[in-house]
Amino acid sequence: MLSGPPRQRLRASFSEALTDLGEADPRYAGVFTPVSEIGLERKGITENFLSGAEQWFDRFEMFDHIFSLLNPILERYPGATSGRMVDVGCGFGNTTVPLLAHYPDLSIVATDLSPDLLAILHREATKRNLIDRCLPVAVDAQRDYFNEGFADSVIGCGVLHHIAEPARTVSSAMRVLRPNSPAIFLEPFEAGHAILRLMFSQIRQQAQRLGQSGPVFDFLDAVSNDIRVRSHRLALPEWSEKWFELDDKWLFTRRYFERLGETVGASDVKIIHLYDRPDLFAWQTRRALTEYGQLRLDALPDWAWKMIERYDSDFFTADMKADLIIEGAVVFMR
Amino acid sequence: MPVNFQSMFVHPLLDLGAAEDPAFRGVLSPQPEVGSKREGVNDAFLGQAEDYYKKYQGFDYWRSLISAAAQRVGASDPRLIVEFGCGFGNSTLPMLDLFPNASIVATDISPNLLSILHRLLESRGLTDRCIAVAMDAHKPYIVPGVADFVLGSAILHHLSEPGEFVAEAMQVLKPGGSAVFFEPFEAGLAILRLACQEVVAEAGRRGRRGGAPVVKFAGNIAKMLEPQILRRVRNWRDLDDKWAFPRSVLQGIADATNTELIVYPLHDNKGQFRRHFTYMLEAYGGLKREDVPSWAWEPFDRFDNETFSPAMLTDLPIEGCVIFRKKGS
Repeated sequence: MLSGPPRQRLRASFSEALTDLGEADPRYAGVFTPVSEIGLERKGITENFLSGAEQWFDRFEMFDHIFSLLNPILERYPGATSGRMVDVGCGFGNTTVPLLAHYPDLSIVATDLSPDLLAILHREATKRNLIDRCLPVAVDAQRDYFNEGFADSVIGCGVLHHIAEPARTVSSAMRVLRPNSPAIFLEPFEAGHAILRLMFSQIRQQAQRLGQSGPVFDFLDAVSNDIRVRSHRLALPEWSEKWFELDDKWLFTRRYFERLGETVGASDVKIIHLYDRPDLFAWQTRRALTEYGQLRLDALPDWAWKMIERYDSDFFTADMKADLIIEGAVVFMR
Repeated sequence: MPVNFQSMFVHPLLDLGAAEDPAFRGVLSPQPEVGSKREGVNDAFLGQAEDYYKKYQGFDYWRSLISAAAQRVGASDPRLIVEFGCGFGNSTLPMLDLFPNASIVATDISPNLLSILHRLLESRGLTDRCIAVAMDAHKPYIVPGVADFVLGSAILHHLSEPGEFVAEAMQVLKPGGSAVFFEPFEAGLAILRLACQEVVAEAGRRGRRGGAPVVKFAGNIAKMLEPQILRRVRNWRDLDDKWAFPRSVLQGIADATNTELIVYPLHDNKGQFRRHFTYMLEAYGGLKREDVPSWAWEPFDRFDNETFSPAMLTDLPIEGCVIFRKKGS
């Protein structure tokens, strides 16, 4: 194990020298990048995560919530919360900041494509006296700059589903891990989303029979279509090119990750649901309406909520809802 | 050289033909089981065993399933197989053929079904390779760590506590050995039930014009599947078909027994819901696929082709193979 301050050890994780982006643009002081990355085109990232970074932070800062999701998963893997962690697609630090705050023996290489988001991470980590154990690095997750076998864990919170070829990112994660260490990704899954789409379609059809319309039904249509495109893109020729421009590209299946695990040589692949609640589909509908649709809950009529209740209580057991994952963790073991 | 089957048992094996009833000649039983009440088995498998045999013989079908599972776990030449819930031998006889070097301890709670198996073994000259043993599979009658391979064809879903049974089954396996089961799954059956309910709802909207027997059958299927899927009826423990397994329940059993879980569907993902409903219609409903009005196929076809991606359909098995692999080599 290398000695020296945590940040020095984190810099030694890279196979080439890092340069501080702040030297060229003071806005990015404290955000590093491999020398080879300078000047390369940043592919697959939208303005939300660049010039819109501060608004993105204001809207989606969820340090406590993300920690509450990640912590039970991490606790299954002793050693993952001390030593060196690589946070892939860390953004402004929804995972990095709370993990550093809760685990004093943890140091994190926090990587993202967006220097704007990383600048926010640098600010938030500095504010909380965590920056000594955090190295923000602007890098394309699909390119390999790390040394092999140094990391005690890798995490990625909602990153794989933005990437056209997740296999490359997972393969890189396997490469940097020590043996018997986990790469943990929190991702959306088709299983639960397909049920949501089924539910929303039935609500939409019933609304049409009743002659009801309005923004809430339009929103459910939009959500259903988004699920359809992300699940069925291979069968939708009109999306074969446009799909690459989407932020949210994938809804994953268990089968996809099991095969990916075989491809990257993982010794084990586990899929873990994140939300163990009896009102899973009602809860997710409430979240969708308020957080994404900016709609009130009473925009949806009572008869629609009753239809949703049936999905939670009459169609599937609690055990089955654990398999109908809406958002879950996939853990690849090196 | 004939296998010493007795050495695989903790207690002496007695011939039930002498100990209980001449009709059970050739069926063995561990001494403590002789004369004991046979719990958890209904008359279909006892007094009506011959009818059951005539109706459910399917050697070729089970052979193909077992062959695929054995390939999956690399069990090309198991020498000792323990089978639980063997019945009259729907899987036993195919295994004797698939694995020519294997000896099989074929167990079931029903001496009636085992008598049929013994008769079939005798007629094929296979009694030196296979014994039929009447016993409660939950009890530790078999010496631990003797078996290369364990099989239970459609047995777990009849048990109130499948986890306890799997724990016992894993005891008889050598390290690295696999226990293979073929079972119904909630994932696919719950979706099938949803489709049936949609047929009934649509029929209601149409004023039940046309296809009435099919609609009634679909409603009956939805009602029949409910206790097996939701498991919340008061007399659940008295049901034959107790479980449609969620994968998470099987993973819980694997975690509790410290085994690796492998699950895969027994069917392909092309038209699985339409195909299964057709099978049920023709096998249990006395109806033909031509009796189904075109509008009634809509939910099944939608679930097959539109609601779920092809990859997702493989995670929604109606029937699947469940393998618990014992750790160690």
